[in-house]
Amino acid sequence: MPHGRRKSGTSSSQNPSQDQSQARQNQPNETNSGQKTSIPTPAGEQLDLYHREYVKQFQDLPISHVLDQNMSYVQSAFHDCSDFVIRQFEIQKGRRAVAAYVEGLVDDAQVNAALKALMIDEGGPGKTDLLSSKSLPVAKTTHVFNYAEWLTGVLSGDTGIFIDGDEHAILLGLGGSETRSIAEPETEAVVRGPREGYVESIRTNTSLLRRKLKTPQLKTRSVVVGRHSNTNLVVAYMESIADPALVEEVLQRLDKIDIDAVLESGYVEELIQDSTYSPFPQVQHTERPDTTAAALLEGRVAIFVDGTPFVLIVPTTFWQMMQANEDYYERFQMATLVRVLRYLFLIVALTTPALYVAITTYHQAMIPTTLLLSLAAAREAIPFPAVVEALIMEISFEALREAGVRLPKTVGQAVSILGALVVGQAAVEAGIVSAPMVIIVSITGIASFTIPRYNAAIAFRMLRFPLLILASVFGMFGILIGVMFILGHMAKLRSFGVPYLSPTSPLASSDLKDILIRAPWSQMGARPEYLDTQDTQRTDRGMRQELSAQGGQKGKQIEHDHQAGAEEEGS
Amino acid sequence: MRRTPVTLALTGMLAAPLFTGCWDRTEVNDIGIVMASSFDLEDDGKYRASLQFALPGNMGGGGGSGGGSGGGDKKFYVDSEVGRTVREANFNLQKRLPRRLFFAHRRVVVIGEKIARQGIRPLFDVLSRVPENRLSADISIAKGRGADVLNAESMFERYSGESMREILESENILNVSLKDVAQQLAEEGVDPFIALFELRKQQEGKQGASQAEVVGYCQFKDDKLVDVLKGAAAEGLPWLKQQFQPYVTTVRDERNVLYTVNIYRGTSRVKPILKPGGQVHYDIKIELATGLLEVAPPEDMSKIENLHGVEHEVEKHVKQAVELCFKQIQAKRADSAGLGLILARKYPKIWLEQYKDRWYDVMDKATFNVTVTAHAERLGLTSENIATKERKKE
Repeated sequence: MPHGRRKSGTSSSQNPSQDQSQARQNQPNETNSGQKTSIPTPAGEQLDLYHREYVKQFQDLPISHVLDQNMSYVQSAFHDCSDFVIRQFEIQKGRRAVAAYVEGLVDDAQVNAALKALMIDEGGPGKTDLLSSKSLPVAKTTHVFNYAEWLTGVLSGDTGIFIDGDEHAILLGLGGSETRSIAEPETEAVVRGPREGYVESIRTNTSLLRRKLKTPQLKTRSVVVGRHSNTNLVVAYMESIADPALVEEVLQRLDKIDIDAVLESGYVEELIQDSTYSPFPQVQHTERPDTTAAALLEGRVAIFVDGTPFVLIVPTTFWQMMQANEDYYERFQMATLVRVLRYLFLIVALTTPALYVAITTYHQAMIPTTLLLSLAAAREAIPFPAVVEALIMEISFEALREAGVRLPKTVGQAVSILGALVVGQAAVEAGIVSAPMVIIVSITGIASFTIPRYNAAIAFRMLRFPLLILASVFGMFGILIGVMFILGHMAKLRSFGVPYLSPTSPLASSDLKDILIRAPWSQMGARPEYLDTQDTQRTDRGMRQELSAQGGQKGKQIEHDHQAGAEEEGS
Repeated sequence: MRRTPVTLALTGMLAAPLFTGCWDRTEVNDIGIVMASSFDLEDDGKYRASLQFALPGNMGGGGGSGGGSGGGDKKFYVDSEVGRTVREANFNLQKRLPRRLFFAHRRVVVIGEKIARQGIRPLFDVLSRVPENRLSADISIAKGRGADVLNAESMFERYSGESMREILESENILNVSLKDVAQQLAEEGVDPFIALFELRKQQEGKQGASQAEVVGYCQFKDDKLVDVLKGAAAEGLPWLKQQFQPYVTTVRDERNVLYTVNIYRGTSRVKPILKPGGQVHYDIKIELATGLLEVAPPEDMSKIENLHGVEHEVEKHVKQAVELCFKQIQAKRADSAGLGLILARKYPKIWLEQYKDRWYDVMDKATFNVTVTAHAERLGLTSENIATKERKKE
């Protein structure tokens, strides 16, 4: 369906019926302002402002050398836009010019300074390009020849200037809109590691990344997505590392996006991921420049989206979801143990309620006798079957968690008190829910919080419900069947062509040192094999050999110019 | 709607709750957990199966006020029923039980004396046929009726079955499980022995409740109970089985001083020697370590001759016990110690050719000698009684 609609849309400027319907739709608007919804082009066509792809149409509309013509285009395009400022002035002895910008997106003081420089300019050459090279004290100037570029520039914070008699306009990069200051990301807190996180401004974000990777190898390709939002996207990658085919794939997938607006990177994520219906996230998102830089160094590609602090990283594998950036900053033994803990609790988060239900309703023989008796004693007066009990508790826990996330922080405390008291204690005391069930739900909850990536945790939170139901119907067999299905699905998933379970399936044994364990940096010489990087080595082979020969850096091969011992002797 | 895998999976998931409760789902509170059971023979030849059930509702766990607390304080109850087969008896009993009989947690099986005398082999059919039964359950014989032992009080544990199991598995009793007995019944050159429970009255307190106590080991000839190894003879059995069990015993020396000693470490080696004429001789070597728990009247144990005296007495005592056990085995022609098996393992060929078929005759005539070496360690108080009057040394 959407495909067909787009087709009819492109030709709609010639389609009278559609024009009429649009005119009807906008009737109140028209009567109020008396403005037109279409612009006549030099070729005599009517440009439809309500057309879904008006930016593309504007590409064919060159900037006129007649200032009044330009003025009328701009005024009709921006009628009823109270935040749009048009300032007419004169330069060079009566030559007329117009500056236009969106209020709030530019730094007023800088615009004033630029206009002042233009207005006091006397007797200079008439050409705009000479003007910008001689008398405009602005670092970032762009010359544009069509309205598409002019519009997107001005709407993203540039100041556009038309000068009478010139066939192009100047865009002054004097952006200065209000942005949030850089703060520690809340979703990825660390004990040790940088405290800076991305903000909503894409340029701030790319600068944060550039600060981590000060090399021309870091490429940041710009893409614009969204017919109305005209959201700036930046695709960042390391030219010498990333697989060029991957970069091309990412750019082409982004190019295929046709949507009215992209308000968050989640839109992009869903539009470029390989499998829409999978519960597993196939694109990683992060708020941290260090995580992004590390991913680029592994040969991945990052996608910055303007207006959100969440940067996408592709391709993504399952194991990436189980790793936190701090694993690489903390000592490797600790990181290894923490990883083992995460894998363990991943299984716990997925299967504990299901296992509890399966074992207590089908396989009572499996429980140690004394434990069975305790469970039986606790369940003696419970009116519900174990499955229903589990579902009640799990669902109310999910509700509690959701309530905690959405509510204002001050109310959140009340929710947690209610939850702990009502769901926990009171339900047990009233004999509606058994105490072991509360323990199971709490363990599951804690376990799901140990997964470092929130979106991966969501996948497992969701999947434990089907497993629970399978367990209640088929017992242990149900759980096994369910887990087999999940594993099969994960083995089938791809993220930008990379198998989701790489490097365990297909197995790349040399990559396992960053999966099962976190090897010390001196051992992690190679970049992930499955990403097919161009430059495969992270560290120098000589350094690696020296470190492993000495079991660390003992300084044996360091020649000292200053003989500390001799000095001490002398004194 | 297209029939994609997603829709199919979704339909399956939505339908799944409707099936909940089908098949063999059983909640924990729908099963009657059998903790122990006993088998007796009625006078009319029917089996009486007695089952001990745990009563989780009375254990006050978890649910707090929910579980109707303040109800009966008994944590278990025993009921029994008769039938031509054990299972028939069980299912006669099931007719009056609101919960399904659940045998997977039965950890103690008690066999009444009457069945034991008649032969226990038939019972192993019902005990092993259904996988719900545990072959690792402990087996024991009751003096008199098994049901009475099941009904014994248990002061520490929540149910007497558990208390019996703990007693059987304590370190100073040779414990056998169902599968051990089955194996011994199946093998040549060994006869089973099973611990014997007897009810004893509580000797203090008003109630005078009966509690089950292990009084010895039942000697089986093939699958029939023939005698009981008690007292010193029972102490000798672990040495002959080459399975050391620590125990406490009291020995008396010629001056009538009593020593209560704790034999805490030991090894025994039973070595069969073939003698000319087809006779078998057993050379039994025992080495043990003992600790002193009490000396009455007090003696100065720092004197080396006293120490050696104790060692000597312990050696004598252990030797006597082993001899008693050996003689009882010979007298009853029931090879509880597995002497034939020891021989068969050492001389497999000769065993098959010469002894296997007439083993009990050979065992009757077998000779043996016991050598015991005792080391008295852990004397505790190293000198005289601390309350001894001080006196000048002469």
